[in-house]
Amino acid sequence: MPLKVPLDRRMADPTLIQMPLWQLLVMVITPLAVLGAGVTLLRWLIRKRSAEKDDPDWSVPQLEGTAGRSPFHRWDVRCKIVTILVYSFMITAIQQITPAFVAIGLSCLVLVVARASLAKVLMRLLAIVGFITMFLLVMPFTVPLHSGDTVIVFGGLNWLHFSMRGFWLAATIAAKAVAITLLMEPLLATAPLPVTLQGLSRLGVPDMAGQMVLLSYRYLNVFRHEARRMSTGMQVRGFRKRSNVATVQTMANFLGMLFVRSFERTERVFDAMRARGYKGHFPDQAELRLRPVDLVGAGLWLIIGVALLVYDRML
Amino acid sequence: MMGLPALVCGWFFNKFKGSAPSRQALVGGLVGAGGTVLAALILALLLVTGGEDFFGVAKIALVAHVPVIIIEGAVSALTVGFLARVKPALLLHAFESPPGQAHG
Repeated sequence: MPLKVPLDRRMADPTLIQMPLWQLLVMVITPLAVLGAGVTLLRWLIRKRSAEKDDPDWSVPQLEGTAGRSPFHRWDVRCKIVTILVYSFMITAIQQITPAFVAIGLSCLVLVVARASLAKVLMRLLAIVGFITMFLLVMPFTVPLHSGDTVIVFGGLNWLHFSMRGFWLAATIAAKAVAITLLMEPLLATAPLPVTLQGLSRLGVPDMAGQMVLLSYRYLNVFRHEARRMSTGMQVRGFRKRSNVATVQTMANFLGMLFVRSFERTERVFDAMRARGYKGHFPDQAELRLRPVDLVGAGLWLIIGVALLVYDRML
Repeated sequence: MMGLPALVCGWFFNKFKGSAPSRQALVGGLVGAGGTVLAALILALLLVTGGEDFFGVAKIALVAHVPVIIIEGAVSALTVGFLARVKPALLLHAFESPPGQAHG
């Protein structure tokens, strides 16, 4: 078997660092516990805050424009969408850890300039934390070994090897994901959603898709309230979630009832829209004007992105 | 990743739903589980195309979806069964309105 020899050689090549088993526990469980505690705390804080203030319904379009609060609010929507999307793809092309962290720094700077709300940014980050943690936890242990890797072996358990290359790879992916997620808040929250969608449709996205997003976003909130009302009613009648068949049956009926109610509401809303002269499109929300400043801003930002990529490849 | 399996499953459901409520519930459950299976497969496929380094993550992502698939199948079977009893019109193809009751 000619394959056998190089395979064994390859296994022998990586630099091995022996460590006692208890350090594995410290190295893996401590960050995990800290992360878990942090996430739980943040969830609790956000839930408490939104319960106190009875969070404003963001889906209702704001009639008085909030324009002019920051350069991002004044930036032309089309420019903003194209620039941030292209820049995001540039970030995904980064391969080294240092530029990825620089990208996070730049994203934080953007957040400060755009005066984004910290709570909403944190909520977006919480949404991706699970997926990212999976990468960070799994990849160091599953990445195949190459020559020149540094591998930490714990207490003689040879099948359990912590590859530093895998860890850095996962960390780079995580950093890039965080950098892009941080940008979504300035992209989506610095203009009312209808205006953003108008910009998208001007960029060539089908009108129908934009309307679907707009209506879904609006009625997602309405149906969430409906669901909350229904679940309160169920709790009042003594329903508690347990892990048994009856719970699944009840939840299925709950979902089905939600479908029925939503569908009936949709029909009523559609009839009402037609009664008020809806003919397949909404009136434009704002007049989009492309100023030279917008283009200059877009150009500058993309240059920064290219510079980041060049820095990445030079390392 | 999530949208395409939904479209495939919607088409599948319309193709095979039949008319008996029990059959509709069964197909609904299969389709509900199938949607999650497809989504998991697409995720794993995307990870695998990332290179040899991502094989481990792809495997674990697939395994992590198994309980979700089971729950998804059970809940969608029961939900579709409920809908078949309560409002069968919702399961009709493309919300075709019943004859004799035109809209608008």
